[in-house]
Amino acid sequence: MSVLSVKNLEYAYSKGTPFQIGALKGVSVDFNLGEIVGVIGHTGSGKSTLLQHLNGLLKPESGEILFEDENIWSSKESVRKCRFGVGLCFQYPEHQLFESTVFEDIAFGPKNMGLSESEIKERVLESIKFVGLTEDYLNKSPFDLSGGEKRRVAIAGVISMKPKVLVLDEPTAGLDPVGKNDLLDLIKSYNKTTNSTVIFVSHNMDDVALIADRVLVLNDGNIVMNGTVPEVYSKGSELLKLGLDVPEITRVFLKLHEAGFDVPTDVYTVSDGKEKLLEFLKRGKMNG
Amino acid sequence: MVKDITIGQFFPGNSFIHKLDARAKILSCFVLIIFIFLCKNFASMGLMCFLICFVYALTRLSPKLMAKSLKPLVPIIILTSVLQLYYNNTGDVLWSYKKITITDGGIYTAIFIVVRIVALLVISSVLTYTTAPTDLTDAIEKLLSPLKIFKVDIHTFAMMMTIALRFIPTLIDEIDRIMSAQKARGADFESGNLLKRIKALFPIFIPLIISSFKRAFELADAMSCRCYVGGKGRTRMRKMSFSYRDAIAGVITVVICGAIIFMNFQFEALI
Repeated sequence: MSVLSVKNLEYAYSKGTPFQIGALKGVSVDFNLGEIVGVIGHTGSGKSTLLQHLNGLLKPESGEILFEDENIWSSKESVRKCRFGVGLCFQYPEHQLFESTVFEDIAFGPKNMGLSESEIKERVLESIKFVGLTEDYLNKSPFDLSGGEKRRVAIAGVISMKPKVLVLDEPTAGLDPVGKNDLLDLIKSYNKTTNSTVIFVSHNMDDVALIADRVLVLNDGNIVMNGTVPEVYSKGSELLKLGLDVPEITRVFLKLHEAGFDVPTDVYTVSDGKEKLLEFLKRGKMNG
Repeated sequence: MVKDITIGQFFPGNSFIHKLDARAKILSCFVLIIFIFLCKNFASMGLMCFLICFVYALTRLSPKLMAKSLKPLVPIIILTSVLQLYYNNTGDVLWSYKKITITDGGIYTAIFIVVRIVALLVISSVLTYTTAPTDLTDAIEKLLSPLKIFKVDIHTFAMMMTIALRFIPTLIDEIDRIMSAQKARGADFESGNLLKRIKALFPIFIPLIISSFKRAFELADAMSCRCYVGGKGRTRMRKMSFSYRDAIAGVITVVICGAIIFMNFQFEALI
């Protein structure tokens, strides 16, 4: 069932001036309930512009966006409903923290929704636990936290609105490998426990392979590929043409295959790669 | 919405005015601004307006651009001229109703005020539209350098100006981004009473101030890393030089100013 769908979306920056840039040129896509969609594309392909349309921050020039089968621009209420129903978390979300305590900052969204005090408190506690921080953090100033903690707080601020669709722009940018994996796990578990849709933009093909059910590839304002991870990643040469690449582990297997070893080439995550490699080695032992 | 701000914007070009030395532009602009206030009758004001229109035409920039930047100031201009009509009661009474008296002196002042404000805005816009910010600050530094004998730190002042101008677009982008992020969390900047709207600005300005400080410290570190120690012993990559164009511009400015003084004596002063 599609919870959010985009129909023939077109958008251009600096319209009517010589600087006009066509950012989106007729994009149509459906997002289903409960799936994780990775959006990839090189810089300037229109990823961020697409994301900002999903919760009504940008108004499409033509085309429409349907959230739960209702055009989000049909009335003032529908835009507002969409803002809360589709939680958008910007790149480097830690830069948007502003309240004096972590509690207040996470409560900003729920407060704007007009929830009761007790409901707000409940949601804040729930979300801070969700992002893997303890309740001790709630009374601290967000500016005393480390970079990784700040990002968790910022994400908690979006999760606390309990959006049906969680949209993240480069959630792992600038994090260390451990922090990155933790965050990806967190996104995955949010998706599993709440059965919500997660849409995330990433430059990192490995991240997408790790958690996405479906991959959208954007190029020059158009969706050029839309399919499962194996479907998209098996087109390595086409991805290269778009300025993208396959995950590192896939490259290792491709090289091994090239060198004459009988290994599969459709390996996209490290854990899968380990299995396949062990399998291959076992086979080798049996034969020799 | 925020992106409409065009204060001190520079539009690169290749016109006569663009090619003038920044010092020549600043000086002529300064002199013309003084003379805008010395125009006391229609003849001199007309000459000044003609010169300003001519200069703007020379920049080869679209008149629409100027009109667009004047637009937000229209209410202020109208208000000042209306106040002049009301308060200035010199000259012959043309019309009066209860406490309101309109005199020909009032009408003249109102007209002159409008023309002067517009002329001021156009001439100073010509300066910023056609001069790169770096050239502008370099020129200010050069022009103020005589103050060095009074131990005024001109270089630091010019550097501060350069940095401030340089960061206007960056800050505008940042405000845009923070506003979007808070809107995504349901912040509402467009409705509610004044107090509510002011309160809605806190979520923007706190992150903005914090990041500005962070950026300032980073910039200071980056400058120190490249051995910046202030103006002492610093040489320039680009030397500014006067050319025949600047001489032409200078002569025209002087001639026009002379003509304005002459006309002021020749014709009756209206204000």
